[in-house]
Amino acid sequence: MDTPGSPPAPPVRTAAPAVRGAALLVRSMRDPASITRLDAEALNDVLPAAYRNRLLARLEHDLADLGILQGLPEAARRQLASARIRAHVNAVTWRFEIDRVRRALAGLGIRIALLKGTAYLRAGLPPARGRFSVDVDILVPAADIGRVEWTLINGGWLPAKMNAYDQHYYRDWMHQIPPLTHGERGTELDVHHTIFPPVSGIRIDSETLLADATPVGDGLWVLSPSDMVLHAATHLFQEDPAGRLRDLLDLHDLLTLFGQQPGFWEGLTERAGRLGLGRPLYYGLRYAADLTGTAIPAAVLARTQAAFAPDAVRLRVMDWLVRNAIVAGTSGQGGSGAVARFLLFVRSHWIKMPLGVLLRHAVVKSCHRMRERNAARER
Amino acid sequence: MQLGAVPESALRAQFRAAGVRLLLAGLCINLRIDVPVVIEQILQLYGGYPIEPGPGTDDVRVHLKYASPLRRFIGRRTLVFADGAALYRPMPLRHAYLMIDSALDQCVSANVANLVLHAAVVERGGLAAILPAPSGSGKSTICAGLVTRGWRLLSDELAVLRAADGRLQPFPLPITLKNESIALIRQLVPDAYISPVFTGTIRGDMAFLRPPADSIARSAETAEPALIVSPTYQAGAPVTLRPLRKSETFRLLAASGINYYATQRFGFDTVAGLVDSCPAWRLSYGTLEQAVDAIEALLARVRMDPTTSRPAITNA
Amino acid sequence: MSFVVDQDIDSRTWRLLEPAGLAWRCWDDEYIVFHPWSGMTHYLDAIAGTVFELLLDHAATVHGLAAALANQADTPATDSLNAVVQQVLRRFDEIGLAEPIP
Repeated sequence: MDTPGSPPAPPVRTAAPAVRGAALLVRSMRDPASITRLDAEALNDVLPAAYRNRLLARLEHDLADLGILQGLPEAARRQLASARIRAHVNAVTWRFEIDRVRRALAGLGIRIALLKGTAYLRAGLPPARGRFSVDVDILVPAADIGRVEWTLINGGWLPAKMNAYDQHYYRDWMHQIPPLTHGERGTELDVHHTIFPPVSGIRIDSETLLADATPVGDGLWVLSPSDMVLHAATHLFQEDPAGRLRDLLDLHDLLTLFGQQPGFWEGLTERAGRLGLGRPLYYGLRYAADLTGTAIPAAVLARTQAAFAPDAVRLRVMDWLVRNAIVAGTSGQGGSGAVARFLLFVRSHWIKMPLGVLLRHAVVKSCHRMRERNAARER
Repeated sequence: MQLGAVPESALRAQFRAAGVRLLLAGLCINLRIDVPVVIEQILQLYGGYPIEPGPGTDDVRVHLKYASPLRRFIGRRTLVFADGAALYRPMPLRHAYLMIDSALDQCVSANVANLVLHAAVVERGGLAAILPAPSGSGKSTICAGLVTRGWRLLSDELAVLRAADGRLQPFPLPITLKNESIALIRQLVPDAYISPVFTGTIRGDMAFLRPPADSIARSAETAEPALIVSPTYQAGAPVTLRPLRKSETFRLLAASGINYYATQRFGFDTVAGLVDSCPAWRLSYGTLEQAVDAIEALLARVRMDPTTSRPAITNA
Repeated sequence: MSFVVDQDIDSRTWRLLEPAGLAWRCWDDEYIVFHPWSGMTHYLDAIAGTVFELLLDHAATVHGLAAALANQADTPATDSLNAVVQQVLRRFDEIGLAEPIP
């Protein structure tokens, strides 16, 4: 028991270090060398922040490249070394997993594109460094989705146990069949047939994306540079973007790499226009330039602003939402960040589903949650 | 410097403010505690443990606090965080110390440069015995029994095999005693300090035995693995020792590995090395005394072979 | 003597997949193999282990492996041995240890 005479504890200060850590983290990812100028307390803020945001291994990679690891305190080096090992093991696991998926679907003779993390891994792109993947995402022709699903289930992947409502949500409203889990290895596989859910009205058929795809050998493909950038931007701002510093850094990496290819910017802008993804592209470029310091030609920013930006008021709101949400999400704290995150989350779902559908979805989900909570309590 | 060397009032204040930096298993673990009763428990159990008195970079920061400002007064529940992430569901105040014990285990397992096995480790005469076994096998109690006979405690829970040299890294936290073992050990060593009993946990009654000062003082001294004994408790059964085949030993150790997969080639090589160099047995026992006698007898038969520099078993 | 139904037995040549960095031990006729490509550790019985060792040397067919096994054990190669070897290779394919050469 607390002894009656004990003095009251000083106020708990969990908010400050976490928010400090987040701000330091954003700066450290832009400029890894700045880590060496941090004192012990600042390191104690930024390293846990990096760990929580799954950026510790990426930081280690950049510091190792710069040759400045040895100047850091022992405890920092130990954490970074451990992160390096974990990221390496993660890469081994998912490279193998990609191969198993390739093997399972090789006989179908269809074009399969890897998406997101496993695409970066397989194609050896900069976002793959120090990355922790959690699943394989593939894009297949919509016409072949049935065959693909059947082949995978026959090949040892198990469909997720879910009720009819959730099945309906995934198949008809989202852009994928329900996630599959491998029966022996327990790894998750997500099969998409478009990268934007049909319900929202923006329709990008997989054939369009697959036609432009880049081969990476062994019958596997990844999206073209433009489409990869557009997917990263769309994924960042049309789904829950809170705490997506990692995703923003991926976008930064892709833009930095591909931006050096002649004709890339023109092709990117034109493709965005044609696929109706101009708005997310504009946001992606704007916030990459702003938060991760990506070098984007001024003319490109101007042109995309003119063509795709929202009105000034909405833009200011988005600026506030995104900046707060990215930094606050990184810190995992409440306050204005939490509000911003919630609003962006609602917005992202609104983009995907018409309002009436969204409301119904929210009601049904909350009923399910309540039922599950009651069932758990009774056990 | 030892934790107990700092004046208690200063320690209490430090636990609640910047945290106390414990040096354990080659790591610097910053321990911050908002809950006064848990601070008192730590002061009783951790007086001999080394700390880093000044500020610096930590390996990990553990923070035990009330689940919410309200929870300090009503239905008191506590949470423990490591580096800002909550580790477990909120627990009642009276079990809060248990979360610290588990959190420290997790901090050590999280460093995947070393291979960590779920096993007790004790040492005598420069030779260490690894006792891999799941919870409930009584390995902590056997550990306590051996320690009362003068063996050095490296850990009652985690065998840490160092990346640098494959030797065992000590991590001598207070030894967990459960249910009947509490009275048993109290009887064996009436002078030893055992914490108050935590009742009503999912494992029944739990208490913690403070390790001998010598074990804590030598917590930076690594040890050479020499034998492997996997204990299983069978009430009323006669004591039996069955030598394990090498392939069985590998399976046993890999299965007891907490981060075996993460250590990849290092894990495989280290386990294979243990299998090659350490004789291994499965020990079935009915009483603590039987188990302790059997393990002491086994160690007496092990010698370091000067030609191979490996442990070798001689006939009794 | 029983029939060997040849079309049931795989005629393809099999090889180890990504053998670089493979580490293994053999104790009491059980093989324990660490495969860095998949990151996994496998436990192989005597037959599977011997097939593994034979493949370390060179790629082979089911018949070739069965013949080598029979030779080592100083027994005649039977169709049930062929079937066992085929089963082992199928399992190797599943775990990513070996593959049929296309």
